[in-house]
Amino acid sequence: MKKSKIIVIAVLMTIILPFAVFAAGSADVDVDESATVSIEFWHAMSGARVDLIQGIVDKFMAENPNVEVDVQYTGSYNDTLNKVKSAYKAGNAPDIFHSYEIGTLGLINSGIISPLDVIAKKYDREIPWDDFFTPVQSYYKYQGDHYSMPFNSSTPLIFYNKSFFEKAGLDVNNPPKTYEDIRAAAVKLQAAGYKTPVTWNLHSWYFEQMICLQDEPFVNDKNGRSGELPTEVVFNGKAGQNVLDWWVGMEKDGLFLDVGPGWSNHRAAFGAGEVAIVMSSSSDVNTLTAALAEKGWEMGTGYIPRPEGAKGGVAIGGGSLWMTNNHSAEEELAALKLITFISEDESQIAWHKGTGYFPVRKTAMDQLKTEGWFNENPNYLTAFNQLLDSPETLNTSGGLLGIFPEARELIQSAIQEMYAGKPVKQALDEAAVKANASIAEWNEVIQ
Amino acid sequence: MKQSTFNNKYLPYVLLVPTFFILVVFLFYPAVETFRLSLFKIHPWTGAEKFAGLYNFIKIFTNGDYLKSFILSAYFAIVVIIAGLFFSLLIAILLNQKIKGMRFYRTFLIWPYALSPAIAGALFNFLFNPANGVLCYFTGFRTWLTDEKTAIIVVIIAAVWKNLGYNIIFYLTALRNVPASALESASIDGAGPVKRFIYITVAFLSPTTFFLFVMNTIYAYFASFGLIDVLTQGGPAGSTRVLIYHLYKDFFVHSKIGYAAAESLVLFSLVVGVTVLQFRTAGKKVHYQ
Amino acid sequence: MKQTKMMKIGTHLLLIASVLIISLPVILALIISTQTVSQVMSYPPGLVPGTNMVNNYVSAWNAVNLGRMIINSTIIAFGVIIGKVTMSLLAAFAFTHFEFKGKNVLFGIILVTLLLPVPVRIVALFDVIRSIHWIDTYAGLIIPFWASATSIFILIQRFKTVPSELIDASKMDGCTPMLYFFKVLMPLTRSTIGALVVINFIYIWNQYLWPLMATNSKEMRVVQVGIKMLMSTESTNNWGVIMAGVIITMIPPLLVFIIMQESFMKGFALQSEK
Repeated sequence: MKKSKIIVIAVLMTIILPFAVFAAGSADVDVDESATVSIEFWHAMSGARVDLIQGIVDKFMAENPNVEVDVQYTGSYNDTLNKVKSAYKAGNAPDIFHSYEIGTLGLINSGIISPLDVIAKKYDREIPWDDFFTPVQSYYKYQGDHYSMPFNSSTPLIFYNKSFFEKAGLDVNNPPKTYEDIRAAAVKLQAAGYKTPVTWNLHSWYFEQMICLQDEPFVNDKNGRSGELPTEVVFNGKAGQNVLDWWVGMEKDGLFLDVGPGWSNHRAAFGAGEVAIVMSSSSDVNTLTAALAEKGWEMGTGYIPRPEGAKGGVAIGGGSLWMTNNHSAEEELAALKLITFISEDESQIAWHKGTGYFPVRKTAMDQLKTEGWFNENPNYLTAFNQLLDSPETLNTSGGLLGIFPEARELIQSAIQEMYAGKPVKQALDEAAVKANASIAEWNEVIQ
Repeated sequence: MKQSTFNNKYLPYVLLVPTFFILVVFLFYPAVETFRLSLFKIHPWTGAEKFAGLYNFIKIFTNGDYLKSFILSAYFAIVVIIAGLFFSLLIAILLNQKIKGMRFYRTFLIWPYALSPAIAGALFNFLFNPANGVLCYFTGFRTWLTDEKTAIIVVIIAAVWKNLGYNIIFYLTALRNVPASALESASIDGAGPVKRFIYITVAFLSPTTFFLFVMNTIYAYFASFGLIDVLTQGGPAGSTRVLIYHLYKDFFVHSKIGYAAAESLVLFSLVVGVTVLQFRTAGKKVHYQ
Repeated sequence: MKQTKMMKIGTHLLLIASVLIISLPVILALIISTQTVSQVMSYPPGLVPGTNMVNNYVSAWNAVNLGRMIINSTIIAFGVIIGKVTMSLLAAFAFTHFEFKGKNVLFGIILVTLLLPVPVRIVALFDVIRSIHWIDTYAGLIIPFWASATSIFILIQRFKTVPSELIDASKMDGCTPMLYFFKVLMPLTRSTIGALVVINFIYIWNQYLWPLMATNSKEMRVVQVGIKMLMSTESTNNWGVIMAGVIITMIPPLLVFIIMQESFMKGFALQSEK
């Protein structure tokens, strides 16, 4: 028993060693790449995605037999971050964990992570960032370094019920593009008997995206990307007001159905045929297509709306993979390899097909195109094009803020106050004041 | 009457060791530590501490949202207690009549007690959600949970509904213990049923009412968490964000550990207040009987 | 005579109305849990039972691994009950059957714990559990709940009613305290213990805040948290499936409650006398 194990290891060593020596030879750090190593990977994707991720990791392990990866679904993003916190304090943090995009600045300043580019340099591994879609990789780039690997990426999208559009005499192949288009379509739909034809869930994400679309920042200090900790939010400026004047205005005029927060109600209202237009995540393409097909309706997709003439673009949403610090060189290298493996075409294509999230690389996208995937699933192409049509600016890279999760809650509360009658400007200003107070406290604690 | 005892020097301590071990590790130490943490600013990731004096207390009590939450919790508790006790007393009186099928009725009136606040939250979400809530349709009003004024009403109804069974049981037991002789003598004195109820029954029920007041206060302040987390997440616009939900958010979501510790102490002083009241009145109750 | 008859009918009607109102949410949940997606999604809602009951219950069961959660909740409930009742029995025995130094002080200390429900010490309790690596373990969900002032008080009340003659007789027979505890005291206390068991079962089964914070892997989640997970898994609000899950999770405590109703009544009575 013992003997055979030793033989296996010996055989493996003789096969792998020459490569390892070669690879290690050029690295700055002395690391035994063939050493057996086990690493931990915690993620926050539930349901069928658990098996999908396990499948990708299994492939990785088959290719790297000396690396043992323990993959765990650790609950929501928030649960996962809390678990990482606990584990880090206890000295057994996972090598890789998954966080939402809005946790980015908090993590950069947490003192518990190793920036991805720094690790890649350390082991002389090149990550071909040029092959990544610009908006996807630029979000996670801070002061010239990529801190984490984009993983599940999505943007919001407009979904509309083509059958209802037809009944209302609207052009089914020409989705509304501007605020005015949406409103005009809503008025026509209402006249055709759809009582409150537009909805989306109460989520700050849409508001943030629609500020990006106007190429305006969310926070000061170059949208949080200057290297200084941002000290003030600026979402209460003209751009933010534009968004909400229009959004809340539709609600006031009875064109927009307030379905509250969460991710189910707006999909349900759309699936039940109660509304004809929703905004939701691009990863909802499958769910919503199926929901409408059940009733015999056809679905179309379009870019999220902007004020006439606005020149910005969407920022990426979703999550990325982070590496914690204080691990052995062997573990670090194995984690780096796994992260890179997950970003490669084969994994990304499986991931996209299984979840609806974007593949993060151009080559993966090309392969999907060649396969004819988008002919079968044209609505996914809308989401891609929307992303590719976005210019790269500090604003469309997305705002970074340590207290982003809290800012989101404040914005959502403010929108609810607007629904209840508070003027847009006043509610936004009040939210900004609260957010700024929290920022000041956070900045003090984090230093 | 003094009870006989065993003579054994060490055994009683041995018997108490397990309980005290748990008490020290999981109750007293955390309580003292919470008090200590409330005086510090704490790094959300590394846990590094900076002494901050009363900073956290000053911050929470100058925070408009926290004060709003403080008032909301009191309002919520008062309405839940009054409505809960009123309806449960009414039903208990009905149940206390000598009629057939009492056991059946009793079972089917008190069973929601066995459900959890989280389940109550899920049920009321199903009934009132703005997309396809059944009762939204039948009440002709959709915005039950998305309107600041009505969301709290749904939460109150759900909270009262869930705890009704518990209150009914206690009132029923208490009603049975009202001595028939007292009612009879009052009736001989010429008191009508209403007067009899007010002067005799209500007086006899007062210890139970007080006990239920205390238990429902604790219920409204603490057990409501599951209900609110599943039903409204504190929204819309903070209109159902009671203190315990606020504490959970600050601690577990926003990692404001010092704040959360200070908020815990606010809740602690509330428990102390209610408990002191309970013991004082418990003393009176003995006199009364 | 006629008037009392009318009153009786009136009482029945009022009681039936109360039963219906109180049961309404669950009746509606039962109906929706049998409907197909398109029935659930129709607005105005249809209130006739559908044909999709089995599918809904199976989907709910599989969507968030309800089976595992029910096992977890059961293990935790019994884990807490066994430890809590045992330790409370021992403590109550010490306080009632022995004289020892510091008795009043120790009793006072236990009294103080009434002031410390979980939410007021949750911040540091979480730290304690974390530092001993009990996050996401049964131990973290069970052991902190083993000490209970309420249970100790209830048992002390019960033990005090045991006639002194029994102790005297045992002592004369040369019976050791522990033998007396097991042979005499325990059998006499059986119904009180039963009451404690059922009340604590419901209490632990229905807990939400602590399990929400102290667990995070799906293998360790309990049913109450599962309900919320089920709601977020059902991406288009399929209440048919969600309510099926809700009904599954409320069956165990309801069964315990209905079958053991008399124990409950007793337990409640004891609670208010503490």
